[in-house]
Amino acid sequence: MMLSDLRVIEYGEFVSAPYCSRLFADLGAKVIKVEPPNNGDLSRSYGPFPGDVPHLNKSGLFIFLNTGKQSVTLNLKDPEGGKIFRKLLEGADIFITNTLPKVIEQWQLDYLSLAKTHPKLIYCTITPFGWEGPYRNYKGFNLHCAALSGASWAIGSPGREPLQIPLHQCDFQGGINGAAAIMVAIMARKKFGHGQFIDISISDVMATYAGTNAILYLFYGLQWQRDGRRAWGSGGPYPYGLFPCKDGFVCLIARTNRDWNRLLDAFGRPDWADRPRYQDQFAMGREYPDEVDALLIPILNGYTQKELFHMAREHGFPLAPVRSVNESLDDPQLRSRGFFETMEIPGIGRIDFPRLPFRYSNTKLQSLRPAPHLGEHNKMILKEEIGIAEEDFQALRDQGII
Amino acid sequence: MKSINEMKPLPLEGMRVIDLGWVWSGPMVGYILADMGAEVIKVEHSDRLDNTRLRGSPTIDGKKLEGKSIELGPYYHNLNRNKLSARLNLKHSEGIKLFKALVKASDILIENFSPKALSKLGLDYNNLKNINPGLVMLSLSTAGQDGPISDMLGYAPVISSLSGMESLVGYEDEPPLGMMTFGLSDPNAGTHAFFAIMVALYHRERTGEGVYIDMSQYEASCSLLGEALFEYQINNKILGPQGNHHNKHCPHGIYRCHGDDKWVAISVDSDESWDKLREAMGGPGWAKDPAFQKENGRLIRKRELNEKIGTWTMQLSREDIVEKLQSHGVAAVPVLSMEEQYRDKHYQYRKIHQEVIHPLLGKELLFAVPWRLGETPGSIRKSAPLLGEHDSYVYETVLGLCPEDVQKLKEEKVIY
Repeated sequence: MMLSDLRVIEYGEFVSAPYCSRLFADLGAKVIKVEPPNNGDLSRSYGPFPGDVPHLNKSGLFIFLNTGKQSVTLNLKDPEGGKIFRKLLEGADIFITNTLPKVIEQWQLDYLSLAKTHPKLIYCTITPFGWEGPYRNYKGFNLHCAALSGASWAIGSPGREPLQIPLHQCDFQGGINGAAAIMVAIMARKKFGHGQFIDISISDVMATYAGTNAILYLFYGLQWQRDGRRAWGSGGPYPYGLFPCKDGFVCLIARTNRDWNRLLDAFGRPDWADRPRYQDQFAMGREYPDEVDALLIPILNGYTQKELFHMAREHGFPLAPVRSVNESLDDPQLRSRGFFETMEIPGIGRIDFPRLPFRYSNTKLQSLRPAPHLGEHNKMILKEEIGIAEEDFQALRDQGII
Repeated sequence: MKSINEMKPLPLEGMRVIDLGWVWSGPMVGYILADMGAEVIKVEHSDRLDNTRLRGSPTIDGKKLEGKSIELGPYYHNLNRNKLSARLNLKHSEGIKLFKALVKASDILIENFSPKALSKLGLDYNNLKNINPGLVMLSLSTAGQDGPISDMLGYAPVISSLSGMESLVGYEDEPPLGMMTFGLSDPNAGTHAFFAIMVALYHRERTGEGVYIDMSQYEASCSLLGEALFEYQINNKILGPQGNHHNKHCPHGIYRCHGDDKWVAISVDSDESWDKLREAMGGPGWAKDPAFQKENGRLIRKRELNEKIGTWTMQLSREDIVEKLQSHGVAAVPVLSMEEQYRDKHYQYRKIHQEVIHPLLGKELLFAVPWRLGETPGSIRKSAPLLGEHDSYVYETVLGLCPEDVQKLKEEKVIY
């Protein structure tokens, strides 16, 4: 495994930090997840649960984000818990957390408190607004990162409320950006010999994404604005958006003249196709997209998603069905590449998991290992690895520290 | 004057990268490597330019810029800063030879062409690894190098539509809208690809082995949708447009404030937080309804609750609401337009926008890599290159050709 010699400690809840450390587990690193006693990571209470019945070890989101990790419970608010935690960090290369700055400072587990005793440690914090800055202790979630980034401003219909980016996607971006930055720090440590602090603000990540694309609008007389199923002003040339068809929607982006003419060919070149008015794709996008829709939609409505996707590949223009998420489970493309791996989970059944989106030529991913039950590895790690004696272990458990 | 970041050591200094990337995701991988100190050579050909050069001249301060439009695109500049530019025609046998020599002299090769485009030229990994066994090569494509639909064409929203992600974007109980203007799938794939390369480099450091990475942008979107895949597999539920819904937090939404097109994002993540919101609103009578005390009760009457909150937010300025709520410990931020994002004190403090001087445009703002690494943050040191600006450096200094030969190759349109 590519990262089998790395040891990661995660104190994370919900999505961002757990996704970050799962990427390391997928590549063979040993990942120890430290959770607060009693209820553990919040995502254990989130679901989806089989039959909608809550159970700390049966939450779909938790399982998806924590496969291949080991779970240890520790109360970090308690100084004794903090001491054990510092010991745990001694053998670690990487620490990942999404705890708010003021909380982790209170526990004296911030980077400054640890750097002297753990000079090689790579310490990564992933929070909605970052470790430093005017909003460092603001409370926020996925919704707020999309809102503050400028992304939400351009999602939704004109005049109606802006929309979030669904299903915690901003938090996932925090996770992958954290992982990428950590790998830079790992390479830097090989070169310079020391660890370092990494501060990821999810809002900054989303603002950079949105801002990068917004350049195409703001510098070309287009607004960065909500425009329903279209990119505003078609982001330049039309068509660019979701369009209805016989059995749902398709996403069609025929940006170049070549794309557009291939599409018109596929539909047998309707009599309006060669009028200059419908060959000037910039004017179509900026001035009369509704008029173009009125010509295009009746044609698209004559075909199913599947038929249109087939035509698009046959003629070579960019179009795909707007699928429901579950349809990917049956996609021969993903199946043929072995993208899903099946794992039997006791009490839940056989589940297909999406794996990492890349293949390496000379090594496989770590095959799926179960997500840990809360505190499942307490004994193994705290007693056997850290060396806490049996009677101390019992006492710590009685005090609610483990 | 050098910035503080520029004075810190560059973690990837000494690495050389050939960047055949185009549009967003591929070039993004290249610029992150470049910001971190690698020498990134963007290879282009005059007859097949990165199509982000072909967006026409931009309008700045109300004036359309004059000059060679392929050099003037701010979008291209952002995605290609810190890189060197060399021209090369891969359709010419001499071009292939030069390319192979470049591969031999490099550590990393990035490409996001259609699958098979490079193998048709004899430049697939199996050939290139014989030239350079330590090569780390990334192929980033729409759906992967193999499989029944690996030939599909797609821009970001087309690919995320296929994954199901776009079907989740829209108002609840209405048909989907998608997030067409934004294009999340590209930077998502680019960042995953950068991570994959760094892991491969780490592996190479340990073993000396090169690695080929076959990455699918379609899979990169699917890989983040585990929650919805679970929901379907264990409960047979198919998720539709999510609006501003959250399964646990309520209220959770974006509300209109006093003023023109002003909005605030508010979320209540616990029963205690609900009490604090009530307090911040001045304890209105309707909010005392005991049915609202518990998360479940609030979720059941979500619409009604959202209307009430919206009536309150309409009367106040966005800034007042944010301050009031955050001081009570309730999550709230303004919904920023892009113009507001540029001016926002948070982003200014964190310096996500950075100024560089471009030889034709003058001052321009670029987006920095949004990570703050304490010791090795990387930096933007140079604006995007002009086409072929580094032809001499690449062919004479790196490959050791004599100026006369380079001149001849230019005349033969190999370097063109």
